[in-house]
Amino acid sequence: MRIMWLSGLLMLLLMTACAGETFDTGFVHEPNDLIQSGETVYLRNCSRCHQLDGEGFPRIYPNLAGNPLVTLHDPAPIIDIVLNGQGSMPGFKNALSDENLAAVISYIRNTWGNEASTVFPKQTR
Amino acid sequence: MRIVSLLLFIIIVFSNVEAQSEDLPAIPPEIEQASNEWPLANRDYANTRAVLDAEISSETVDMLDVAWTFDIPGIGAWGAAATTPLIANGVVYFQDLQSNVFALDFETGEIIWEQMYERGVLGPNGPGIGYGRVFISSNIDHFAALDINTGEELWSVSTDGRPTGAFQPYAFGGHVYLTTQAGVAGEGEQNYVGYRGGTSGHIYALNPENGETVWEFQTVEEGFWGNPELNSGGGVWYPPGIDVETGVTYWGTGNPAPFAGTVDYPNASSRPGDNLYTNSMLALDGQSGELLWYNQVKPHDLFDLDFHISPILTTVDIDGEARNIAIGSGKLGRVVVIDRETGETIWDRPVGIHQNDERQEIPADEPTIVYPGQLGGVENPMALADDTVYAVAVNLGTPHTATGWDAETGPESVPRSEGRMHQREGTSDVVAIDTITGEILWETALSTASFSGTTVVNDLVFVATLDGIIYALSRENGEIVWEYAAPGGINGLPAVTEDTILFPIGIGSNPVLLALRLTDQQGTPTPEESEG
Repeated sequence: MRIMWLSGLLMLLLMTACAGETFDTGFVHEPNDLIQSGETVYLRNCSRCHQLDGEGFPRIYPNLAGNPLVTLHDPAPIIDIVLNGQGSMPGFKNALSDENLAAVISYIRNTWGNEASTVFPKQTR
Repeated sequence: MRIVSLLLFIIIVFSNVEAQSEDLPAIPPEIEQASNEWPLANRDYANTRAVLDAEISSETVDMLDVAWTFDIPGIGAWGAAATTPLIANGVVYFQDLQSNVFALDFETGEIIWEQMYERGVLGPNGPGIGYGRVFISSNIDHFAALDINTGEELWSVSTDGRPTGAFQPYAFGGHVYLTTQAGVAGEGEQNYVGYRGGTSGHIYALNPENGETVWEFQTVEEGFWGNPELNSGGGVWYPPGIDVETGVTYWGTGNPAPFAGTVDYPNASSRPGDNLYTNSMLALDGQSGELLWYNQVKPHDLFDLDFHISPILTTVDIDGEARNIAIGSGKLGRVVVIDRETGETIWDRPVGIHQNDERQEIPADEPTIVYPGQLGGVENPMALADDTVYAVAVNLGTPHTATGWDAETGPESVPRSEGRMHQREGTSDVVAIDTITGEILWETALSTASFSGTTVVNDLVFVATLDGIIYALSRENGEIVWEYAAPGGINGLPAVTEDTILFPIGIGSNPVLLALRLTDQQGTPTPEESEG
């Protein structure tokens, strides 16, 4: 019985790793869903400065497209900037939910030719 | 008996309010004493933004260099500073976009006092002074007064959920004038939700002693044009022009919403008619708030085109007759001269690019690019000197659809169109216009968008672009005679006195309040010179 329970847990962990992440809300966050929902969050909160094409504005708003900081293997630095702000960019940790933070960070890491791992809500806490 | 007592109490309370206000001089002493500095958002109650006795001119401008900088700590959605600093009696009063307020030594930039709120607002906010106080929005839904000498908070009043933090107060006539915008303060993840149905701009005259409301004016007709669940508008973003002889106040108002419409009500069909009093100039009696007249410059606007900036007041000779006029403008990209006595339009001059802005119907399934856009037209205050008005028009189109990009509500449509603009591609036209004839005297194109208004200093007019280049243009012909690369982007307005110009540099890695001051030698090289 105990082995079966452990097997079940292992299976659940594997499913989570392969198919996305299960949260208290019961929703499963697929990487593609995160990226897709991140587009709306980006449009509402980010594109006014960083622009719809992610190219930013010379001298004042950094480009996100092709920016190596955005696509680092370890997303911690870009998560930190989005949560806490930098320079004249405000932090969004109190303005956006964990789900929306994960979605928008996943979006900017995987749009305009950028390719990197998606970010899940628990990483933004 | 109880009712009689209550009525007596109310009469006494209101009598005291009136007595306190009436005991105060019309022009606060701090402002009167600082009339040669920059004691009001647009320098004076006529909003001229002109300094004709400073030491800065075309002869000396290249001697400007950094005297001091002050690090701005508070960051909001539009950077750190979208306001004008005040200079009065040797002190600089300044507010950042986290509502923090600072009193700085004008000579050195050192802090005299600070009041830290750390409450994000939209802006353009900023302080107003008078009657021993500094008046501010201390939060998205609060007005407050600070002791002008210590920064101690003396009173704070709630706006009952109406959003503020987007207006710089004026004190005059025993009142302090403040406003709120169309929307709600604080909801879910957002601390400001613009254009919620049934919300409008409000103009307040408060008692400066205690914050009690003396009068209040709602800028939108009761009933919200037949659909209070959806319609909104009429925000008031910039200070009024005040006729110091009569006490009459002149205000510019913002757009109606939803724009351009919603799924159920495309092309603004939820709000038929003119949508009074949006996109209008209003003349209000300063003591009572009574509406004396209005002039709606852009009825039934589909595209968020405000007539919102501070009216400039002056007197001109037209056909041998001296006429008191108010000069208004806004995102709709027209400079309009209005007779202050009758409210009639004398002339109306388009500036910058106009495209599709007069349309009353656009498709739902494909975007229509509209100029001026949501961040276009005459976004920020103009300047006036010697019967010439100087404006900067931003050419930055916005893609709109009939349904506000499939919006269900007014708030939804705002970021959907705003987020699709290409700010990087915006340009600006600085224009000089004859106030008597409306003739454009000269026009100078800048390669990026400008949100710093115009400021006259002797024979120069100063403007700055969003990417942080400060320009001084000749008032005679519009030629650029000096330029300076600031250490960050600029969407605030300068203040000038004597040998110094203060510019808020609110965008970039290190936002600062920058003091440029005349030196005895040529200052930091301009961008062109440094390239060489």
